[in-house]
Amino acid sequence: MPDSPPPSNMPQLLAQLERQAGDQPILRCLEDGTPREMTAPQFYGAVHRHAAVLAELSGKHIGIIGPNIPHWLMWFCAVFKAGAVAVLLSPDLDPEQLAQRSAQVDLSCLIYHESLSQIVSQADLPFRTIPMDHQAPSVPALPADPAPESLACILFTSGTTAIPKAVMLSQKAMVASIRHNVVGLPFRAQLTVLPLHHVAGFATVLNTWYLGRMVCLGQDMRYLFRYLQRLEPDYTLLVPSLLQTLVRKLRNGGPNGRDLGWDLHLIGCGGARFQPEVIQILNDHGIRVLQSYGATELGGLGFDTEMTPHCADTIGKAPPEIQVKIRDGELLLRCESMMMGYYGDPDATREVLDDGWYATGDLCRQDGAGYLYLQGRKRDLIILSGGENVSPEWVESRLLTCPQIQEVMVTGEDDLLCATILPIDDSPSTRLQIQEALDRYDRSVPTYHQIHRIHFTQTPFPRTPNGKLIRRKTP
Amino acid sequence: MTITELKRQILRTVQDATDAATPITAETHLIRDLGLSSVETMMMVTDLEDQFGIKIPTRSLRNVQTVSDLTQAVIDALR
Repeated sequence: MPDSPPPSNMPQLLAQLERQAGDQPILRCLEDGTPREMTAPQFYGAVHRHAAVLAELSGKHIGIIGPNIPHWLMWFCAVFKAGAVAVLLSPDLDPEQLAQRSAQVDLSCLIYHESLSQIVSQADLPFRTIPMDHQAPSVPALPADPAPESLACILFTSGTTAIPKAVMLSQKAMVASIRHNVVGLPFRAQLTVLPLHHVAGFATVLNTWYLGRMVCLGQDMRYLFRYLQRLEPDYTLLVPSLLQTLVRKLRNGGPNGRDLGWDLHLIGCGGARFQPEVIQILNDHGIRVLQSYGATELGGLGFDTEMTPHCADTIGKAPPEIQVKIRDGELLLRCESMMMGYYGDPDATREVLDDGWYATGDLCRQDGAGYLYLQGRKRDLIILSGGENVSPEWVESRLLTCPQIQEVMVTGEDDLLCATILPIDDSPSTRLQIQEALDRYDRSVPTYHQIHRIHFTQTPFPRTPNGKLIRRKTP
Repeated sequence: MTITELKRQILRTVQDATDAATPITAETHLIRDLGLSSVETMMMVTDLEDQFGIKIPTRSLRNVQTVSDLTQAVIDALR
């Protein structure tokens, strides 16, 4: 991995990645069920041609919307080569949302996948749109050289609130998001099934290339097992619901899942509340587990801490690239990949960003060794009339130790705590066991932490695409 | 493969995909009884597609609610 001269913007970084890769294969994905590899010259050749299409849009905001396919990545890199700003959009948007986001961030152009042409057409966008399969000219354009402090990329928070915020990352923040080795563990090929428009998607891909490894690209996370078998990655990054499904499958899978045709050695998982037995099962199968803690506002840097069954409740320890402090119980972070702010929303920016410190909204404690432990979300705190602050996450984590509770959401109702519970099945004996577990819990905590009302539901709770509970909706 | 063997293999796949404490039968409801999310259900379907070398059309999944419905969708795709 060459360290000098250090790139200061995305065009320079992409040139470094291209030089470093030589003529090696860098990308593997399934085409009609068969693995196909793409070499660096094939990939970057297309990037240069696509950049020529965008040459006159230097400095403008260009949207990208589509599934996890090589073309998405080529256009993404091409936007930077052309000196434009990449705006990353979810392919799940409806026409109205697409129009709203486009206006919110002043788009000048949209690159879209053909499968979304109807949505793009219905959004009635007042600017140029380019399909991803557009035939690019054979003469590449000269790469741009934008200032390190200038805006490079806008992406939206996955957010559990109504309107996602538009996070701005500068050129230097993008470079810092990619040029690191926070994972620190060896791997051969990394499978990306998380959406590319999310920071955990695109930053992981480019970081994998920076580390000189192969990227396996999965278009649809529903086919995770197929990708693990046919693309042969040894490392993948998952959301908690996918990890849970993978662990169930792995129980009869042999070491590293070899009986299933896998060769998995390393899993990163973001936002998971790890159960020690889950880590134990994975470790018993020769798979190491990383707790990946991050936020869109932090860019591509985050914590990637190896988990053990004995420290399952930590969110990890900050790497040297990230500074940590705790103020009034809230975790504050500062790093080079930090966002510039929210686009067009200085008030929201001021609420979370002060002198480069980002207020995560996560309530944490830190032990003597620097490990952080999540106590809850500041904005989700339930404040009772007696002045007691109750973190619903803390109560939920206690209740989830009852094996008969599959999911639980704690809310405040009439100044009392209420638990809405999804049991593992609908039998009276299960409900009785849950009631007994709640009685035991109530006896072990102060009155203001006790559950005074229980609702049972048969519907899983609504979650964001990344598996975070959406607290404002009830099932 | 006989229909009985096929049903047994599907039951085993469903059992593998869940942590359900109660026994799984043809009448077991995938979401209500097993608490599977839509992504987990779809991952189980793709697993069955790979096991049987079939493609289950999305339209035949719209009415799949129970293990029996799922078995029928696999049989239809094998025809």
